[in-house]
Amino acid sequence: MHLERIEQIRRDFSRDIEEASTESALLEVKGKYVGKKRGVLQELMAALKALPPEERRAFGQSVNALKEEMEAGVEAALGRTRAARNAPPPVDVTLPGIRPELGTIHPISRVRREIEEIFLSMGYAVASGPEVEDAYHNFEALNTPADHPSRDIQDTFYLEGDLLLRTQTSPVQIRTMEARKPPIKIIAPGRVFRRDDDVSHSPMFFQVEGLVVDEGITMAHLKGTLAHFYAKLFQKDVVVRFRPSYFPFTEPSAETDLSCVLCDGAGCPVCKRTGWLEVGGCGMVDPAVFGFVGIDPERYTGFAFGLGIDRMAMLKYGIDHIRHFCDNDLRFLEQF
Amino acid sequence: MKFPIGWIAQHVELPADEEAVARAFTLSGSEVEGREHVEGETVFDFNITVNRPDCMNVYGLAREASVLLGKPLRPPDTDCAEAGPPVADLTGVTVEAPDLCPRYRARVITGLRVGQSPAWMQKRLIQCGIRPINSVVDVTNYVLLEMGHPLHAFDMAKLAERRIVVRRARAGETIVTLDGVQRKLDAERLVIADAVRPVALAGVMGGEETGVTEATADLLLEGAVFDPVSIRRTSRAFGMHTDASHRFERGVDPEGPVAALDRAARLIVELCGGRLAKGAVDVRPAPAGPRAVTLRHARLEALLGMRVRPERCSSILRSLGFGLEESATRVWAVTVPSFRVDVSREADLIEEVVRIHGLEDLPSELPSGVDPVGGRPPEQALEERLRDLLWASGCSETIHMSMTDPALEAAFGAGREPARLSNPLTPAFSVLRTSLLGPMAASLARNRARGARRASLFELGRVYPRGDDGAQRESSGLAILLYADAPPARWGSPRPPGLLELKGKVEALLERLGIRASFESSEGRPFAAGSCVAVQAGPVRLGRLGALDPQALEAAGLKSGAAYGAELDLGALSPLESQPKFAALSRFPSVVRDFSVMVDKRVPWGDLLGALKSLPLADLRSADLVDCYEGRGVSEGQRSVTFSLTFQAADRTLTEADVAPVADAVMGVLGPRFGATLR
Ligand SMILES: [Zn+2]
Repeated sequence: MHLERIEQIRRDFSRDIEEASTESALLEVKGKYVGKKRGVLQELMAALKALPPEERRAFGQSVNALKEEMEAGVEAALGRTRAARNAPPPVDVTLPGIRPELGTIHPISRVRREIEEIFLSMGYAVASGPEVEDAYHNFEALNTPADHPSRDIQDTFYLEGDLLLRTQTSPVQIRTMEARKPPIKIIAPGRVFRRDDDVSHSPMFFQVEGLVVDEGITMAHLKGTLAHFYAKLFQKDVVVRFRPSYFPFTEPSAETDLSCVLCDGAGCPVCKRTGWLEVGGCGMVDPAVFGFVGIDPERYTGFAFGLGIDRMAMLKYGIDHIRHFCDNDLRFLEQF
Repeated sequence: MKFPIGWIAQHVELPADEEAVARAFTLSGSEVEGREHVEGETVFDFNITVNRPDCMNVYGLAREASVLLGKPLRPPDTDCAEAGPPVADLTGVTVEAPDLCPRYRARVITGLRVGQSPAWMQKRLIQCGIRPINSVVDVTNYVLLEMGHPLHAFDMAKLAERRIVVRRARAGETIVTLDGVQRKLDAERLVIADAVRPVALAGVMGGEETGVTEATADLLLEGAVFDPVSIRRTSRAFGMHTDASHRFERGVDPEGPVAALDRAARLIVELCGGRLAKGAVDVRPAPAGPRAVTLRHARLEALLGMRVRPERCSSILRSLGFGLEESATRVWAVTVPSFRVDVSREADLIEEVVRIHGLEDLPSELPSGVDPVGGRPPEQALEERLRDLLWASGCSETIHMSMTDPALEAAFGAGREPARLSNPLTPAFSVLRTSLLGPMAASLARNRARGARRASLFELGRVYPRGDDGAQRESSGLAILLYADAPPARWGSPRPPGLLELKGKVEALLERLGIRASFESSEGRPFAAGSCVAVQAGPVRLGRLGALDPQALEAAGLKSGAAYGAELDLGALSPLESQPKFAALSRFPSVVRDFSVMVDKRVPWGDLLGALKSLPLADLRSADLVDCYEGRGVSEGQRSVTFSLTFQAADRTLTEADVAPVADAVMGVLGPRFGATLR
């Protein structure tokens, strides 16, 4: 009999909670069924006292179960309405996102950093030197005397006195070796200037110079270093080929040819169908250079190399013209 | 430098595969950088490096090929019949400047007829890019191309006293060179003279008056050696770069005149008839003996990091014309052939061996060891941090030329006369920038012309001001440039930037770097009057920012829109950079009190803030601006300033009683000092 009553209350509660759509309606339902004062449950508890002792226990357990069930039901329903009230408004997710303002890093800086990171991971230091140089550091100490045809290789912008805009990052070699003794393992990235201006040249461009001086440094070390570096930079297997050449401050000297990173040596317009890219000069530090900076060429040997950051950026990003780098066209800058 | 492959093949047998020939030359240092067909034959365009004048001729290239291919070398035919009288009876040579002319050799041919050179010779000249003139001049050019030694022919009848004097020119002397130009001479110029006057600019170009013409019957043929520096100076002083000066500047074989003169004499007599005088005049006061250079096999292997058998080394050097004896110690005394003017040291010999042996065999190895200094120098590390903060705050990096336009520099620069290039390419790039903002504004103008309506740019780069003493300086700077010209509203676009947006960027940057800075009202180019702010760290000027003066913008070509620029000196920032220092976190909640006051709008917020911060309020953590408003609801000349004060104690929870006196304290200062009233 009493158990029927319990079932009746359970059904009523379910219906009421179903119908209550607001928080206050739910609280009302809560008061009606499990309220401390006049709740339906109170009424049952009162009935409990009237029962014979042998029935009390089972009935009491049923009432308690119902009470827990109803309390949990109210809480769950309250949770649902609160969640519904705090729910985000519907959004047309096909609308474009509202973006934070982000700028860009110039491709020259991006590639320069990559180059630096590779060499830093190989234990190098990054070095720098003045862009307005004197003739001694830019030429003489690099074994390029005045009145020698090797000066013609680089057309130079001159300032007053013996100052000039450095034509290469190589003077940083001299300044570093003047400042400290081996072991030296540096790269020196920076602006360089040449007085030519045609379709494939810009009067200002970017180079990285490398210099390693220590006991037992060999030309094989130079080749291994460049092979490792280019493989990392272009993230692929590359072949490095040395071709004998001439630079006043290295002996032996070589041009570095790299298997074309675009066609893997098969031949394409960028490598002029040769399968090779000429990427920079290198060689073993000329004993005359050691003479200028007071390093014993019998005890120490060294290698030096140079490469163009512009060139690397053009190859990496497929940029078709060196002019873009200093033009600062927003349509260009925003691509990086 | 162009040479037909067929001519080289007259001196050494070449394989039919032209590609293989080109590759062999290229991989041994004489790069073939182009190929063309001229007069039915393949002509290679060689890129010969300045140290290898011995390869700037057909025979020299054939010598290289013979070493590379292992084929015998066939020298040019220099046999010549001497049918004339002894040369000493016909002429004399005096060298008064032996320092500039270590050797002067001459031969004489009499009774010849000058005409056209034969077709085979003209073809060779044309293939090498030289215009045929007459049979004698063509022979001298032919021998130059063939053997590398510049020669010159004089019409003897026009030489006063039919003799040669090699001397420095005298002040006031002139010469009309073969190109028809009259040139003023001085004691710096070495000339070939006759008994009276200069007849040639030594090693550069002959004189017009004594040149060989169709009427020439007797000629003096010169084969000399000149000082490279003197030739180079003369050639540059007169802007005359000739085939002869090109070779003399790089150094010629001191033994070269002998074979070259004989070869030319043979060809002239063959083509023009005439009688070759017996012997040659050869003035050579101090002939240099052959150079000997020591080569240690151990050093060669140590420098290359590669094994090369000793027999291989010695055979390569011998094939190149070097002299050496076998040595059990593997230390060779190597005699350098006279035509290798570039070889004087052990490193040069090592290069000779390896360039013939081939660099393909060089192993790839990585050196061990790290640089003890390592990493990036502090100022560059600062640049990298700034670069990241800037792009993350919405600015795009630009890179501009260091050279700029003088007018732009005048509008934006530091004010002192900028450094000027003595040989600029164009006036637009003729001075060095002392401000980064000028070139950036010019870029902005170009972008504006292409339709851009807003931009946020930065550059990290050097400027090149002069010091108070006029000395050239160089320092690293950062510039930020914000620009807007009524940009159309776009989905999600932020509002156009103003001075406070720029100031906010600079504040945030400095805060991230751990640099405490203050901002003070300032004046000066290129900022508009009343909107220039100096950024200071105590007495140290870090830079300036402000709204750019429309006149300066106009100088950059920007005629509309508003631009705001900041320029900071990295040299000043770098030593001030500091690591973050952790402050203990309070366990107790903070209490915030907001105040709205009405105050004369000319009273700067900075003054109010200063007054608030000086209040003797325990536990005041911060005073922050909430809003600054004038307009509707605020009486004329006033503004409403809302700020919030945050209190927090490290040791307890603040109560209402703790902060109750704050309102009185605040108004007790702001009221009397600034006439502020609580709103
Ligand atoms: Zn390719």
